[in-house]
Amino acid sequence: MKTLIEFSLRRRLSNPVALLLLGFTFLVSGALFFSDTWISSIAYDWVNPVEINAPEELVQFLEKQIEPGYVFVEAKEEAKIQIQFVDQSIEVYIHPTLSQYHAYQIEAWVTQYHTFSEIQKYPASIQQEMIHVMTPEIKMTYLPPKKDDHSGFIFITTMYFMMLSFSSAMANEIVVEKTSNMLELILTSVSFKAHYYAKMFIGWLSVILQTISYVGIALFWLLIRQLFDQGRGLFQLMYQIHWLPVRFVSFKEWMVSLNISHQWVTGLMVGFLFLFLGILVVQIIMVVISIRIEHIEEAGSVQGPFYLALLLIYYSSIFLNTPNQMNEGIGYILSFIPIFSMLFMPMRFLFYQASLVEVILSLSLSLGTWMIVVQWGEQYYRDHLIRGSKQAKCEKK
Amino acid sequence: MLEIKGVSKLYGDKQGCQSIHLNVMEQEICGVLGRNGSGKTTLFRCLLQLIPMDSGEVTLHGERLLLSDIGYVPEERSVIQDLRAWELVVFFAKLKNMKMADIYREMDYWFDKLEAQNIRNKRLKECSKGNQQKIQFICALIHKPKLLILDEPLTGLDVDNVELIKKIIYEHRKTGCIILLSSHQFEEIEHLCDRVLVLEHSIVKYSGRIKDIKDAHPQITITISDDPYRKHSDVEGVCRVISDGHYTKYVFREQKLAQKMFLSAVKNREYETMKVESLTLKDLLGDIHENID
Repeated sequence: MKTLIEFSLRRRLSNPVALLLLGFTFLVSGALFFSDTWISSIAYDWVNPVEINAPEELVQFLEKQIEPGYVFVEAKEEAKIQIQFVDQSIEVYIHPTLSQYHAYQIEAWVTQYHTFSEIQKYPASIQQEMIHVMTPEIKMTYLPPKKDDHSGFIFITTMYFMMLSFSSAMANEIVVEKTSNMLELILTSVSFKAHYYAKMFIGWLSVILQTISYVGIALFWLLIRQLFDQGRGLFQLMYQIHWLPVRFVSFKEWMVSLNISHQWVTGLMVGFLFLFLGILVVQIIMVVISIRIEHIEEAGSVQGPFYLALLLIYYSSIFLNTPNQMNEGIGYILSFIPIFSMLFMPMRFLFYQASLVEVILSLSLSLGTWMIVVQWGEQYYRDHLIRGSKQAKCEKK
Repeated sequence: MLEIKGVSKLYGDKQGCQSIHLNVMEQEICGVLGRNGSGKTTLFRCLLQLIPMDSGEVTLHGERLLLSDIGYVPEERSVIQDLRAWELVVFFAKLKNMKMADIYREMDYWFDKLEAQNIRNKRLKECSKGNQQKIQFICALIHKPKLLILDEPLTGLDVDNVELIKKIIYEHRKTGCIILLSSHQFEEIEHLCDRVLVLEHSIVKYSGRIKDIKDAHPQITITISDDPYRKHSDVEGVCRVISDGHYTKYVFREQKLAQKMFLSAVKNREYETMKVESLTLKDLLGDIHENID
């Protein structure tokens, strides 16, 4: 069994296509993690703050309220915006590459400076009154992100499709072995039982290993970026293009802002457990379907409807994703039904309400179903893998 | 000794094999012969434990037959096309629990023996059918099996490879291995086999040593070329006439009468080719079939 697992995993993970895909993912991840550096060479202003050269008094006035997208510099030649006081007027020079938005922004700040400067010339007794009249009192508050933003759901469904695609590869492997006559030859060296469980382990391990490899790539670039500038440039870019409402200066600061609780992590882990159990059941069913396939041409027509059924589960989880459905409607019922529960129950306890008893009951049902399907699958596998193999004894050594 | 005792396996459509009894000694080659659907493959599958027997027992040297004791070359090419030749061999050797050092040693030996060193690093999809068959032989032999099962091993091979494989089979029995092989090409395996098991419609029609069959059938044949009108059909002693393309084969019951006709034909220099021989396996099996029918 060990040989079968090693052989299959090596073929899956170290074939030219898989390596190419991994290499491509590696490069794309690197490009994403360092997107600010290469974007700045193409579109400098997207990433870097606009340099402003201005008189000292204006700098002092604006320093506390200037936006993160701007920075004051002393050297005129470095500045893209130059502000000069000439006699009674203010002259502003704007680099041609800058947009109209910058002109409006500078105009607003300069106007504000001018207003306050002029007010300063009046007696102190009326200054407050003038400020009150000329400037509205605006209190700007960023709303906290919604707790039901369903980012966890997006994460889980992404994993759902990723794991499904990995697990279906195993069913295809059996089809290939059958159609290339390799199966018969392999079964003259290992028992049906060993072959069946080898296929199961291969499916599970390939899901885990491929997940690890992709997560590993992300962590690698994260570490490199951390050593480079702690992610400052990347966050600057995300802030500039309005992907983030707040400009973070390091990964650590960003992680702290996520306010990840122990409860949330536990919930996500339990959600994964549901997802994994469901995928395992799906995987066995796919194997069972695949062993009835005699020709490679049949594979699509036999497996196709099954994929549609899985898509149905996914879309139903979206349509039923309402408090009413999830707390007492169809979503509530489906959260206890194995296979459906891999999406519905995590959604309930992550975003709605589910008691511990309900979670344990659903998990037990999923686990029980998985155990039954594994046992039944083994028998079915033995009986139908080769013509006439029904009631074959699994006693080979 | 391989002992097959009353092995039966019938499918729903009543095809399969019934009550097969066979004993094959060490260093013996046994041909399993029969027409398509006679039960040869079912018997092999039972021995390989791919399908369960309805009844019967198989032992090797008095003990239960284990998968690790068997080497198998299937009738159809069964290779993973994108693998290199050596990778497939290593895979099957590891499935038989061989250690890597032993695998490499044996692999060197067998690639040399089968004159296949030139394809060792080639992908199997780049190899000819004959070369793929050689690789399957190496896969079957590398772990030194006690029982070698060859299902139509010579099918699809060119003349050179047929001779090479026959030589390998013949030599390999000297290691003490018991060899079962099936074939439609009776002539090809006649010189290899010590005994035969003839199956027809799932049952055994004949089982025994080839020498015993021939002793029981002392006929002699004269094969001559370019005799479309069977000129010698009425010659004294001719009991059967078989046409085979441009050749005609006369079967004589008595050696003396066959010699008489042969000498006469040689004297008159009537034909380009003349061949005198005892009955071939193919002829004998024809006899057996006819007698039973």
